[in-house]
Amino acid sequence: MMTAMVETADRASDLERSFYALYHRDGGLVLRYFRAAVVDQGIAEDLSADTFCRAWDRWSGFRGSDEMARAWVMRIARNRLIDHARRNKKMAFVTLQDSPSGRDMETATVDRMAMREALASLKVDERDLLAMRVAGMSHGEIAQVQNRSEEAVKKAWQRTLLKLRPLLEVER
Amino acid sequence: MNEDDVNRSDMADLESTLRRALLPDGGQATGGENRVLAKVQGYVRDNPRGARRDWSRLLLTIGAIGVPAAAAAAIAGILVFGHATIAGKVVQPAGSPPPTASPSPTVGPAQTAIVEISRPANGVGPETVHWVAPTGTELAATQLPDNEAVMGAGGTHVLVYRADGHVLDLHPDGTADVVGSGMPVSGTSQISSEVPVRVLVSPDGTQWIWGQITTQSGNTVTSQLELGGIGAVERVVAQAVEANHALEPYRWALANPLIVHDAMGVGGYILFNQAHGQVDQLDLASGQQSPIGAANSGSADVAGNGAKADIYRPSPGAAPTVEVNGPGLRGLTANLPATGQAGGLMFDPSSNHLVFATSPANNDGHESFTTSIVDLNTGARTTFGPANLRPATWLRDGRLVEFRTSSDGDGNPGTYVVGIDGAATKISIYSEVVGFAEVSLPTASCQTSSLEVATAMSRGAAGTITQLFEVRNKSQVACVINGYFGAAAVNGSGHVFVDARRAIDIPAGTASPPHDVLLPPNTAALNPTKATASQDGSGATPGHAYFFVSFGHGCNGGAPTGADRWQLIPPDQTQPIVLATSERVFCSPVVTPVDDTPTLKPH
Repeated sequence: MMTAMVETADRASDLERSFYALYHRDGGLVLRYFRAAVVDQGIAEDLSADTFCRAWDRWSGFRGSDEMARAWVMRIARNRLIDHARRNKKMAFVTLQDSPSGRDMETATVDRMAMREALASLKVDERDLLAMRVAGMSHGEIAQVQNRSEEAVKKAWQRTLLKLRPLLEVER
Repeated sequence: MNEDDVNRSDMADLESTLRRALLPDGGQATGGENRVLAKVQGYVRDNPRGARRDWSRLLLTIGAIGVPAAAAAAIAGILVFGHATIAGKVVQPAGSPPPTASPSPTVGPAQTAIVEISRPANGVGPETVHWVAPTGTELAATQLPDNEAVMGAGGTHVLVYRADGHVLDLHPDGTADVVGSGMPVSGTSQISSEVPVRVLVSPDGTQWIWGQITTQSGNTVTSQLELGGIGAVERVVAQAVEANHALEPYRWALANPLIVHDAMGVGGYILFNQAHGQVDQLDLASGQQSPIGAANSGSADVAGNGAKADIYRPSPGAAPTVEVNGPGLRGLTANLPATGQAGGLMFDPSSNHLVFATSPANNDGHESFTTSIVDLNTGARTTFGPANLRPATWLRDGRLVEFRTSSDGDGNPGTYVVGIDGAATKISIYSEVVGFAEVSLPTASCQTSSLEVATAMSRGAAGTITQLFEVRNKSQVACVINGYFGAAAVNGSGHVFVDARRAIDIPAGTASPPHDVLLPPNTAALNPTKATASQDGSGATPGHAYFFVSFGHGCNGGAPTGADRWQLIPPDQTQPIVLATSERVFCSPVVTPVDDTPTLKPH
């Protein structure tokens, strides 16, 4: 009996260790993803926590490589974002902070408003793609999460950038 | 422009620009990562096996963004881990195996609660929301963070404004859902418990309406009313350009709200929900506005049957008049005192009565009030309820909620529920009534002190005796019981000879697995003999619980114990109930879970 209990404890401990390793590796990525996609830091943090709590619920059943684990947790995050967007219908996309470029406030404000408007016009899957890219994911990683080819992701990303290009030219 | 126009260098530049715009700190918000980690660690700690959660409830925690850390932690504790806390209290007799089930709160029936606010003594600081039953029992209370304030209540909702413009649905356990946004953002994160605009909540609690001045140039004021809703995008439902008047919501008791073209800059000593301009009923679907009463009425209302009432002065300086038009008695008018103020005009839900209140408006710190009621079938007008109360809202059952502030009458504040016969019950010491809402609260676990147990022999055969135990709730409040009683054979000194083993299967049959059994108050006296007499459970007393203990008849020839009584510890409790018994042999007892029937399934 004692042996079984120790084994159980060891398994539990290993499970936690591997789960926290996942968090330490990908927690920042998930948070960046949500920060890029939703209106405020608080919501981004809660969605991130929600994502990892859900991941923990299923972690004991997860089998796969580190790379697969990242894709898996990002899929959970993506579903959370989509749920969040549905729940809030009009998903406020971004509140831009003051640009450090030193341009005068009025211009910066106009730019921010224009960008916000442009970003708000994106579809949810475009926002999702944009947030993943901004968070630092490669096309290949995104392809794995979105379950499509890397080429398709690249093209979709180009189209999204083309949509935003006029605005981004101004920003630059 | 086509995709070829975007070369690799362009792409990199554009991405870099986007990244700077969206993550200006380069994504290095390590504080955020630590906060997330703390939440995840808390969850992992409390759910070591990754327990399934009610995810919609988790979002309530998410809704608490912006509350102080301690409050958020407390909310999270109540919400996500509340059941675990209850389970952690289970104490069982020594030697007993661990319980196979943990008590879980049972959601009680929906009940009406009057929603009230209290504030710190100096009136400044966070609001505390109270849910108070019409009987005076305070069902729940929760303190809001500084940046939140109650907007109103209706249906099953208590809606709260947050300084960032979000709307929260507050629950009696202190958790909240974010259910809307788009309200004006408060200028500061510390709003001292005030909503920056006048806002009203619909009777079903799913919508809210607020007024806003959009432009002002000289005397010309452009204002609008906006409608928000749970899961809906806010929209403008009325607009006006008027001289020195702006649209404001006035009262919302029917499907369509009353609005007022309110004169700007009017203030002073105002005792009632006063209109300073034309009151209209706004059709939310069409946007059409229908005038209610005189253009200079100070108070107005519309009944469910379409009758309209208002209080107005026929000419400047004249005594105010209350008039009622519409179905039923037409053209009913009554003169009110020439001086002072009148208001609080409200039809009851049946459209048979109208109340209003008058006050001399002495402004002496001991303001007096008289509430009057008009029977709309007979036209009789009588003084209604205790003196010095102001009408707040009608309950659906036809009782009126009134309140007294510390500046009224004898200065003894409180909220009262007044029956149509004028009989009043003081239900709280608070004096800021928000409205009422339906709440379903978890029913608490039964305490030992609430329980009464009696036993009778159920059957005796093949060397085994089975004893039936009947349990009733002798308190005045419903409670829930779930799991096994700790059952032990003891003597008069409390010495435990043997603890009962727990099992669903006993020689007499199979019991149901542990589950919630609700024990309502005020049930009939215990009668286990009647319950055992019926084989089909028809002898059970409604609202009582039952469990069995079986034990060996002759201890296989061994010596009987010296026990002469049962020690019974209810699930989740530490204090025992001791029950004398004529039985003197307790060998290998086995106890079944508590059930709501006195029957066992045959093997």
